[in-house]
Amino acid sequence: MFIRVIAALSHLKLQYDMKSIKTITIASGLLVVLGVLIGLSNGNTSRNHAASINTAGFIVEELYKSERCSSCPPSNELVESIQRDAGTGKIYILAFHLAALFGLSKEKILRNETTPVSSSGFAVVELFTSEGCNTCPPADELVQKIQRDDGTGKIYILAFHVDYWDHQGWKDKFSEKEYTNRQIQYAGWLKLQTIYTPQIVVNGTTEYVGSDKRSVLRAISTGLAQETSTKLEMKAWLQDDQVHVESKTVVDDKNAELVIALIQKSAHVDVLAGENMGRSLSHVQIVRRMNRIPLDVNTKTVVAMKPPVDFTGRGWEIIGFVQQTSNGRITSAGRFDFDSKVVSSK
Amino acid sequence: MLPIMLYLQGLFTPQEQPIHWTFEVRRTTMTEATVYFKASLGHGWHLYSQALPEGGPVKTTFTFVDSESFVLVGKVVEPKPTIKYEKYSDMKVSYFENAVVFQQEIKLNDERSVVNGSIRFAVCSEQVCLSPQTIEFSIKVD
Repeated sequence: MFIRVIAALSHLKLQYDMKSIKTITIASGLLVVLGVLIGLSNGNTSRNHAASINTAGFIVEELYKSERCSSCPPSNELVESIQRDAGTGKIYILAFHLAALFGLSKEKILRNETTPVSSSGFAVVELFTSEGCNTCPPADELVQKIQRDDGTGKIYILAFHVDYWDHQGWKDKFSEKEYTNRQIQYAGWLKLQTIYTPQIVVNGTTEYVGSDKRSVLRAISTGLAQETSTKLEMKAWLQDDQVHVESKTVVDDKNAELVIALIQKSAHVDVLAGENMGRSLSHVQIVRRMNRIPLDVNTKTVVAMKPPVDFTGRGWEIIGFVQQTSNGRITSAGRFDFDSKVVSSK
Repeated sequence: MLPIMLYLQGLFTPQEQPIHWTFEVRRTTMTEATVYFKASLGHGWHLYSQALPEGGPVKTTFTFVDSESFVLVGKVVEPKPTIKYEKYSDMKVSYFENAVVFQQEIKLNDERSVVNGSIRFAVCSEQVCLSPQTIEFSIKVD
């Protein structure tokens, strides 16, 4: 009930512009600091206060969980400290809550307002994940949300299931050594000491903890706003049990290669073993095949790949992008969606 | 809101190395010794127990290279781990934080010996799991 009221309030606030929201957020934040400081000097809480703080504290905890802040303290620690210290802090927890919700709604605004999206901007979002990794579901959920909310059509999501969480007796059915190798290659390009899950790489240049919503969204916005001079057109069809992909790119670049991925847009899996055993997991944008081809001098490339046995055409797409081989930077991207185009054999 | 978030982020980001292993051996008698494997964990990181339910995260596994100079007595012993219910995997997991010492008793056949082997493990924080690692050890018993 409480949450619904606050959610309704936050919807109202969507109409405000960025500047006033920032002001409200900072003011609320300052109120919280003040409240905590006052609470610290008060000492014990009365039983009534404790009860209401427990309610508000629960809401704060939920906010932290939904924010998926990558470096936030464990949420129960923070809640406990607020409960302990903010003796008369009930009203300030509410302010904190409002402020946090404004922060959440801010990300919706990022989507709704006119954030500069250039006509040539794009964001290739590569997620490295596994069904056998317990820290991965939040990242899977994040890319699902990004996919669902994308109104630009310029966000290209590829979920690579790595194989290093597979073990005897269980395997992520979408995992391949090839995808682990791709993650290792990024470690080289981006100069990382280790590989980990979940990880998101945006446009081959920056990487983040896969559940770090704020950083990932910011990187996507940057990608969408960039001006590029290259373009990639893609076309695909099924012929003789092979998926043929024709790619046309404007710029011929000897130092780049064309990466073409066959993507299953969504899947639902009942996990029988591994860390997520017993759960029903849903995935989006699963990479099922990947080809890498040096860019053709003629700038038009045709490649054929044998699709997996469960390939159905509908619900699948091809995503292609041009990637620098020296540093992994992605310079253009394109897609062919089997759902929206008529698949005809030539 | 923003200034508070930045402050908290700085305070709680794991700064240290996720894990650091050290090894030691102590003789208990002329023919017996205990090998100690100590894992020091960075703030926010944890290491899994050797015994987990079927299909749990990567459990810590010790492998010893057979040698004529010593015999293993029993299994690698670990302290009581923290047991936590992990929401996303809907199961209880056992792990260690801060530091943990594993112990293995050995019976020596020679005056001197070298205990060779490897440890396979994975470390996770609240947000990420590093890919499983295998490190080798070679511990001299003088």
